[in-house]
Amino acid sequence: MISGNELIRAVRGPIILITIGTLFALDHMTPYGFQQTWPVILIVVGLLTLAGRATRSGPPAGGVA
Amino acid sequence: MRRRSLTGPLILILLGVLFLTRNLWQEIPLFQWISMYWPFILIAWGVLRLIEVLIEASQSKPLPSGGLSGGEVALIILLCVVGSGMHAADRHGVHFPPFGNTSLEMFGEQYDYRTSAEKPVKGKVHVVFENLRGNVRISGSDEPVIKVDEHKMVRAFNKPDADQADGQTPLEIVLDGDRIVVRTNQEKASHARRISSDLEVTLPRIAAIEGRGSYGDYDVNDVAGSVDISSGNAGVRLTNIGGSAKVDLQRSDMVRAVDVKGNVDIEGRGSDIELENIAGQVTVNGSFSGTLQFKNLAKPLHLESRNTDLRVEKVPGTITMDLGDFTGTNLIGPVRLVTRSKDIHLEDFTQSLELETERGDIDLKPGKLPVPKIDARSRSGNIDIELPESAKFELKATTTRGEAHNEYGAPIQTATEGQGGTLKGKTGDGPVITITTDRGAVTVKKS
Repeated sequence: MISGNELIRAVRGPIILITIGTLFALDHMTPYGFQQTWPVILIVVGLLTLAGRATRSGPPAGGVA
Repeated sequence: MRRRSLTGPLILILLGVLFLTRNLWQEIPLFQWISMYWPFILIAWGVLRLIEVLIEASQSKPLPSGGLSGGEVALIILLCVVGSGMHAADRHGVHFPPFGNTSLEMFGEQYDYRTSAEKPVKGKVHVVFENLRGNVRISGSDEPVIKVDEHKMVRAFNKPDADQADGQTPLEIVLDGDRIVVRTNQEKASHARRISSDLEVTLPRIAAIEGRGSYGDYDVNDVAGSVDISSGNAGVRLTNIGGSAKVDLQRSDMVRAVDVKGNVDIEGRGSDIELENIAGQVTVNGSFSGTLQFKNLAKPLHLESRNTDLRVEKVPGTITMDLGDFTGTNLIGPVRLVTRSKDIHLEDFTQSLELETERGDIDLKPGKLPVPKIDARSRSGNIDIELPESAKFELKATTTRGEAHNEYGAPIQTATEGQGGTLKGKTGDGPVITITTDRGAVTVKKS
């Protein structure tokens, strides 16, 4: 059986790709330019990393109760 | 073995469809579409990979870590660079020349055919030209007859094919209601794209003209009626037109109109525009990326594009503008110019001036007295203004970050505020001159 952690790692690339695509589309079609919206990428990467940690088997990372 | 991804073949299919579209329907502004909608390729790609991963996961196959291969990442970065480059180019009005056109014409051989037709007409006529591909040159004359000389070029692999195509596309002058239609019937041939006809036309001067086509130049001289031209790709030259002129183009290297008595109305996309001695109103609406020149316009000029909005009451002098510069001399106001990034030089203007640019230097020389009311602002750029010695005005020039120079002397006073400065002064009871820049120097000089 595939663990949640493996799944998160596998979908990380495509999800970042979709995010970047959406931001470029916003840049071209709405007043929200890429220079304003780029931090969204950091947030998405952060969330994906957090999700990856939360589903990791073995000893939990520091700070997780 | 890992299952190969679907994205490779799909990208190939997409590229094929794009090039095919480009070759078959040239009038579609494909470059503009791609530059606008390319991010959806990224989104579609991501969604596709996501679905692939989820399917693999549901079948309990081993999952790739990271989800994207190194090659794919490189391709995505390339796509982002090219896509945003195209978008930036399009936004600044750069167009790429058609390249689908040449590929077909490389094959086969060119066969030439020459025919002519004429038809007597009386009274005021409305003549419609329907010539899909090829140049049309029209001149007015005093004879009450329409004469058309056609030079048809057929590209084919052998003479019988060419002869057949020639037979399918006769030159016709027909009466259709109150209009006279001159057609070359190219769309009737089995390979319409391989035929092109150059027409040389003389017609009664009082005729009104309507031109339709998808590729080829229009040249109209000495016509007293109105002229209406719409084409997918054309250079248009109009000389000595008695009526109004309307030009609607999807692509163009040049629109030139000289000595027009009526209004001139230009719409669409293209490169250069040159208008001289126009007695009617001038309206330009669309994206023209080359040099725009207006000389001696007797009525209001209104120009509207994605980056620029210009209104001038009359242009006895000259306006020249391109992507980075705007120069105007001897204008009658009110003048209003709102633009994104241009250096602006204005000399001898009257009434009032309203000027706004996001990036660019502004250089103003009102010249004649009385001084017009001026409101000029730049987000980033230096502003210079030169005022005559005896002018009456009330000046307020402000820079938020930059220096304020007073070369005019009294009664203008300079004050420094934080990183910026202000110039203030009043001579007599004159109009208000407001000058504002967020970043850059402001300078007042005496002429």
